[in-house]
Amino acid sequence: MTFANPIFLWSLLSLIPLAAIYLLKVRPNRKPTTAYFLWQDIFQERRSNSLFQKLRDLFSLLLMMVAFLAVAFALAKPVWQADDQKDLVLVIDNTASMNAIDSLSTRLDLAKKAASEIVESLGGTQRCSIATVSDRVRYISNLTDNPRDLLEAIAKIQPTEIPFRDGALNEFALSETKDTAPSNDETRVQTAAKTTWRTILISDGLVADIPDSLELLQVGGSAGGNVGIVASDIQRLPGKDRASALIQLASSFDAPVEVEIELSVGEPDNVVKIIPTTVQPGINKALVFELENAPQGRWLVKLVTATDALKSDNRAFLVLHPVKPIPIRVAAEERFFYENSVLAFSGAGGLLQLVTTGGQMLVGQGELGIQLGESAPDDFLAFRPAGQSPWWSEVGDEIEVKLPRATDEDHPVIRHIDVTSIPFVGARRVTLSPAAEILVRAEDDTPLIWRMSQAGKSAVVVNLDPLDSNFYFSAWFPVLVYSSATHLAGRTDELKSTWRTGEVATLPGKDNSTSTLTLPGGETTTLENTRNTTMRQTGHYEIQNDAGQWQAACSLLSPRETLIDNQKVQANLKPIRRGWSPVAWLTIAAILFVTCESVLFQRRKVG
Amino acid sequence: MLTDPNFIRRLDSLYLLARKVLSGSLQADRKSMKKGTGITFADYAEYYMGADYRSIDWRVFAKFENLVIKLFEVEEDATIYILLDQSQSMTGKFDYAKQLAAGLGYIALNCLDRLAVYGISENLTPLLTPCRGRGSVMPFLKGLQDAQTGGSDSQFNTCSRLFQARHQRRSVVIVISDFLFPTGFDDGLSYLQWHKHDVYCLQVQNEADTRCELKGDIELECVETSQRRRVTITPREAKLYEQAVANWNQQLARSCAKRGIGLASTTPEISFDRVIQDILRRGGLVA
Repeated sequence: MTFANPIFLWSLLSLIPLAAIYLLKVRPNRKPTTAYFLWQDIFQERRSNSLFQKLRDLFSLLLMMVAFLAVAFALAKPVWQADDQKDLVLVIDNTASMNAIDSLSTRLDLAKKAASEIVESLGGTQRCSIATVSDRVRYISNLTDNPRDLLEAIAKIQPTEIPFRDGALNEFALSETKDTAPSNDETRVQTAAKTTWRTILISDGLVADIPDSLELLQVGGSAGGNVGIVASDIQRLPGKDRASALIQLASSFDAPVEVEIELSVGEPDNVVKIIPTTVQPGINKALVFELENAPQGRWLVKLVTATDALKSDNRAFLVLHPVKPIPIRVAAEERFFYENSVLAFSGAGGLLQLVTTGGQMLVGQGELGIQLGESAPDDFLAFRPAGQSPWWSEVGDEIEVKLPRATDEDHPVIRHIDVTSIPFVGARRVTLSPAAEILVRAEDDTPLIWRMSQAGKSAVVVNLDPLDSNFYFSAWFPVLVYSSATHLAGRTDELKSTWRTGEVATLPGKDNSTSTLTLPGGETTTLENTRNTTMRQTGHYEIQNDAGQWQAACSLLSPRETLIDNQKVQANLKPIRRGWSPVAWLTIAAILFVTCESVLFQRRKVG
Repeated sequence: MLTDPNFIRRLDSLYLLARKVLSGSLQADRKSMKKGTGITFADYAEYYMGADYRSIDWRVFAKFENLVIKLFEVEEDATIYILLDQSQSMTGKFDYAKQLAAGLGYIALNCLDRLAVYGISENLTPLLTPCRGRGSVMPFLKGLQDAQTGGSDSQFNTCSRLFQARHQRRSVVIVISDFLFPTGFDDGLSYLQWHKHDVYCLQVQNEADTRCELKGDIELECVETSQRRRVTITPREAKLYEQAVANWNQQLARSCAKRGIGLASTTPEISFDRVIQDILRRGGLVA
């Protein structure tokens, strides 16, 4: 055992005056009595306690000395010699599987309790930091040696319904790699710094890719089996009100389990289908079935089982999205090609719809003859720029393009297109405003395809003559029309029937739009200039933005979280102190001894 | 101050009350206890073997053919002895005891009885030699006033024997004490009564005697013998002590009742003249 503040051991000298005071103090007051003989009779009966009476003052002195010793040692902050005194980082797993009931409490509660015990054992002599991990690592407290701050941080940790994301602990692995491979002075310094901290993951062990530098303190393991939904989907089938549903179950029980699957639409109690089934141990084969008269809107898949350790995987929230095609109007001389390119994607469930008036998007050539204004469509797809237009400022001579070059191959407009195979015949020199996003350039940097937004309108311009270049006959022509239309309308990404918790959902709408999100709990949140949001709560969501009103759903759907059996997980925790620190024990001992002495003192004073 | 004029006036009041209550002298009150020869007829009694033939009432015999004898009041000098406890245990209540002794002695001297006062502690100490008449009042009061507590251990039984050795004539003996004698009081009272004294006990105890306010660790010291003992007094011990004192006083009351000895218990909180008035109203110093 060593002492963090050994200077306080000098306080042991206080034992000397204490003993002196005690020896003086224990002399009792003398009281005269007129009936001494009566007192003698009374105390003759109590002679059996005389030994204790004689030694009581000594006991009292000894108790006070021990109490003083305990206080002196507590002030000196003793620490166990076995401990390496490294700074600690306690990473508490708060993924969905930690909500499993294990020994009458959740695994997260067990983890928080274990973390609290470690913090209590530090006794303010060692620094520690608290973090959680689910889809990523979040630090709850700074590195501090204040136990109260750490315990408060632990108490703040809330359960989540987010599954563990692979690589979430990589930041610890990265630091390890960097620190354990010193190649120069700088990394050697980092290595030295690294040896001063220790990271402990407190988890049920249902995580992947734990870096070697992390020690796993496993909690739970006595939970019963669990059955849950690990995959679910619902999609519209061609034909009116027909849909196909997919449900996949998994079980951590050792034996088959009889369950019922309830499908409800709209309200949770509006059950439209009940499917009794037997769930085999492990991940089961998916159940796929068709639904007649399946209305669009909210769907709920509910698993009814007798015993279950985890509740959040018993429900899957789905949305059967309505068909909302993008109306497109064609304004060009060669209408045939444009119209057919739109019609190619306007079949059952198709996203494009050809209209003759109005429309959300206008496809055509040249100036398109339309100025920006409230009556103008929202989006434009223009080929063969000519004349004056808000989307280019000046059109010059024709150029010969030999090697077109994509500036962003992953851009939604061109990611499905091989731009090098497009003959940019009829391309002209153009001057663009700085706001234009050039997607494809010629070898002399002449813009060939660009995207531009202004005054709430967007456009994709393709700098070629589709007739001269025979681009109408190219397979990329309808693809380019489709990609441009879905991109400009903010419909590039498929609207899923449900997202997994922790997954980033891309909402319909334009990039710079503002969306209002109503969460399953009823709270609303606003997304400014972004369409991406991380889905954290299971349930149904409402979305309102410039692209219209939408519904979304989020479910756990994680085989790793559902298969909660962690018996085979290998913990690699090195010895660590848990429970109260020596300082706490010494303080308690001191209080105990002082209390005992107070009892004796009380007896001496008032009997 | 026992010789203070105001105090003496209070004593005078007591004497006047005594005359009124007792309708004469204290001696008349005492005559009912003793029968013998004299000139004043007192009562009849059946004749018994050895009785004086001269006292047979022949008229009664002639009328009823029963032999009865006539009894006459005794005529003798009445002597009152006050045994005043002056042991250390009386400290704190000794002045009150002296006031009681002064009141009773004043009445006796005014009634022309013989009066003697002794202090009892480890020995019998004469405080006032036998005297009679009003002229002895001031010496009596001064003697009382000068009396101090002392001695190392009160011995009531020894003092009773010493008293009997000095005064063998029957008399009225008034014992003023707290009766907290380590050796007890039974032998002393029996001894005095055995020798035909009219004994009257006046017990004076204060709250320090009957209640225990001591708590915790203390060193008890006997006020008389200076014996010491370190003890821890809990509420239980305090209760036991109070019970022991109550038992002791109850034992004194039983002992007095058994022997026909008058007993009055008082505390310094009650004025001495009120105590004496009560005694007189109850019929004097009789059981």
